[in-house]
Amino acid sequence: MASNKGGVTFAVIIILLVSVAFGYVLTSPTGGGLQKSNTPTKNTQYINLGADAAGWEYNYNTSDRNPVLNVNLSTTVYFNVTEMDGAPHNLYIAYDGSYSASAFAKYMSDLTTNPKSIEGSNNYKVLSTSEITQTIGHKTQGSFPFVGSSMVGIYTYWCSVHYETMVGLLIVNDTSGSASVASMHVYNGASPSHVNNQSTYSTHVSNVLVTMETAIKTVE
Amino acid sequence: MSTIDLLILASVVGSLAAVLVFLVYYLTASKAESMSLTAKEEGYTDSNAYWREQLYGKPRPLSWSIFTYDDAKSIGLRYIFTAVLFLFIAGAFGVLMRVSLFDPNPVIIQPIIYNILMTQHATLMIYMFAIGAALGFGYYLLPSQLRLKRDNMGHLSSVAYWIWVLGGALFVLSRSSMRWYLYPPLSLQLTPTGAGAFNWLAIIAMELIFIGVTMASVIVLKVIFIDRADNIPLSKMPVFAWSVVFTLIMLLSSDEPLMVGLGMLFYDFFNPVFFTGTTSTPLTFAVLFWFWGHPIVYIAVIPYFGLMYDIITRFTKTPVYSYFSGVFSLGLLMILSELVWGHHLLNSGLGIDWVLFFTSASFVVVIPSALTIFNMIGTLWKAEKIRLTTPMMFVINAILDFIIGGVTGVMLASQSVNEVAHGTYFVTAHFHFIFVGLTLGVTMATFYLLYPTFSNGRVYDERLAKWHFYITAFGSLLMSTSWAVGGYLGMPRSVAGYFAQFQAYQDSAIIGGVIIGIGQLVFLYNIAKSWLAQPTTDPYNILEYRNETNQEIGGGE
Repeated sequence: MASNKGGVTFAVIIILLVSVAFGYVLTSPTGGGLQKSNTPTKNTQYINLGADAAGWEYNYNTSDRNPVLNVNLSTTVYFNVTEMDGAPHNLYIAYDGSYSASAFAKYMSDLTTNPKSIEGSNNYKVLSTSEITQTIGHKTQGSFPFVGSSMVGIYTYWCSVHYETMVGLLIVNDTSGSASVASMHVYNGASPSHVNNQSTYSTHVSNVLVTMETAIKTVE
Repeated sequence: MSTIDLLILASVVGSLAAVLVFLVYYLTASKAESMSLTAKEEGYTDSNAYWREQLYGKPRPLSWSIFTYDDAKSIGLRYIFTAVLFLFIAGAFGVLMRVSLFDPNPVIIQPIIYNILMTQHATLMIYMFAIGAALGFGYYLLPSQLRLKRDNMGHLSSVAYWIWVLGGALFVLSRSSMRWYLYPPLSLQLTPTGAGAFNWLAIIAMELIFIGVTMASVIVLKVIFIDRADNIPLSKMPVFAWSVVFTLIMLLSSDEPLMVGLGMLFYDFFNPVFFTGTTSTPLTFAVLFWFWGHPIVYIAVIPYFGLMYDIITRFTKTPVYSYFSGVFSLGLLMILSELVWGHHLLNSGLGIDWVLFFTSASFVVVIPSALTIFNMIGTLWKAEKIRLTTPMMFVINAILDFIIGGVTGVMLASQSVNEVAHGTYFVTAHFHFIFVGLTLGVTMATFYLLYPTFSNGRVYDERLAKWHFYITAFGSLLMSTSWAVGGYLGMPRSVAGYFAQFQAYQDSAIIGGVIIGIGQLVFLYNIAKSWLAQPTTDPYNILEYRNETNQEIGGGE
């Protein structure tokens, strides 16, 4: 820039790049998706799920796949997830809408016909693929607090790797009882048998170990 | 936006970028071709060696060809002007943060954006501006101050520069909001409410910045120790050369822990075993970080001490009061900087033994700092006449600001005060006194001194430069003093809102911050305006091409 415009060029470059950087940073995404609240919750509930590509196994029970889960408001739900088949899995939840019988029926049919439609982008990743390691029998835990009246309603929980088979509904009930589903697995914290079902878990792990032993022998 | 729209937009932007990249490639390639033809006519096989020899011993003005030449001075110009560019980007972020705090509740920008701005402001200022300008002045001034015998690692310096710039650009693109500490588990949360969806990119960007800076440091140390002219012994080097030596040794000896830590952090994205697993603790990362994090803040100060010595000797026409104690105290600062990192973690449960050690070590840092400052004051004291040019005023203001910032820093190093004042604006005030007053001020002083060389013999407008100085100095003092007082009363820092009882301190800090911003616009206007005039002076600058070292300065130019 032997010419006289050197300083002007420099100033223009600075102003341009500062504006671009400004615009870029100010248009950053601000949230969206489910937010994990910091408000303390009154209750805690534990849900044991086995991660199997054929479907989420409630209490590691292969005959009880993709259950509809019921929880009450003001509860921190702990998902105890165990790797069952060695495939990569993760656990997402997303809000679908407020509860009504017709909405529930629609989402139930969506589960089989069009699961993508209820696996929203406004999701929260409870457990990542790396956390549910692909080691069979590895147990891991993720949590989400359902607190605040805006959290009442129907949610989808799913694995993004096996989004067609590993998908189910979770219903958050208002404690006043305005929205509730009578059937299915009701987790209101009252029944201690559902909390950290250790016996089922150890039975399951021993089963898995026997399977692995057999597999190793077959290979040998 | 639908997927198809997105694809169309992406292809249009991609095509434009490809055209632009090709244009740049074409211009560079044809320039390189003509350069190598000229070199071949002169009988050289290595065109770069030919051009370095041609350019040696001449002042280098700013031009587009600094990107095609790779002699030390061109590399220096690249670093200096890139650093000033990032100073403006990060400074604009800082001013916006200030302005957004005019209301106790975050009404102008959302807290998430505030966090992004804060992260970018801190990281860009330290890694791109402070280190960049220090390396730039090193590359630009040392070849002429030390009258180099050879200049033969330009290609590596060029690579180091581009890696460093790429790191800075990627850091902006990552929109990271994890603060410059990068503490896990926050930095592992790839959500907008966590550390930003692209925080993994920020970790890569930091690693790139480190690689670039490490390469450049090794090369500059090699320039000082191996390529120095034979008749300049180490004991006669300018203080600036010594300060660069200490800075770069400090940098090279302490950046490995964080480079390793960043690698472990990146691994934790896939398999969290190092810092957030059941048998590990995030405090491990904090220790790795501060082992580097304390030396880095000295790296942003010590080269500027060297420049201050050189500028003072120039405008007082007096040798440094005590050359030996000046160099010795900078060396002592280098050693002590490695021993005091724990004072950033005083409240993290290190245990009373370690807290006592780090507190005492931090108090010992006062000795070399005070030696440096008294040495400068002694030089001023002995001078018969002090020429109060703009650079000299910046330097005197830097001494003043460093005293205030240093004393507040020593207060913070005391465990009892730290327990109350940590996490408040008192800390922010402490380092902004030093960074704005000293790092920014001395960079501007040196920039003004070198302006005739940069612009091939033009002079800056003295009146505008004085305005720039007064506005910056006043704004800095107002902003940092408001923070110091408000912070001591408990005003929490790094948050997008505040309690309304602190309104007065925040408002005065906003005014100060905006004033600093206006001051830098005056600087930019001065550069652009003065460059339009015809060259009127000798481009050889007083900081360069002198025949004496500091001890022997007789009568200036």
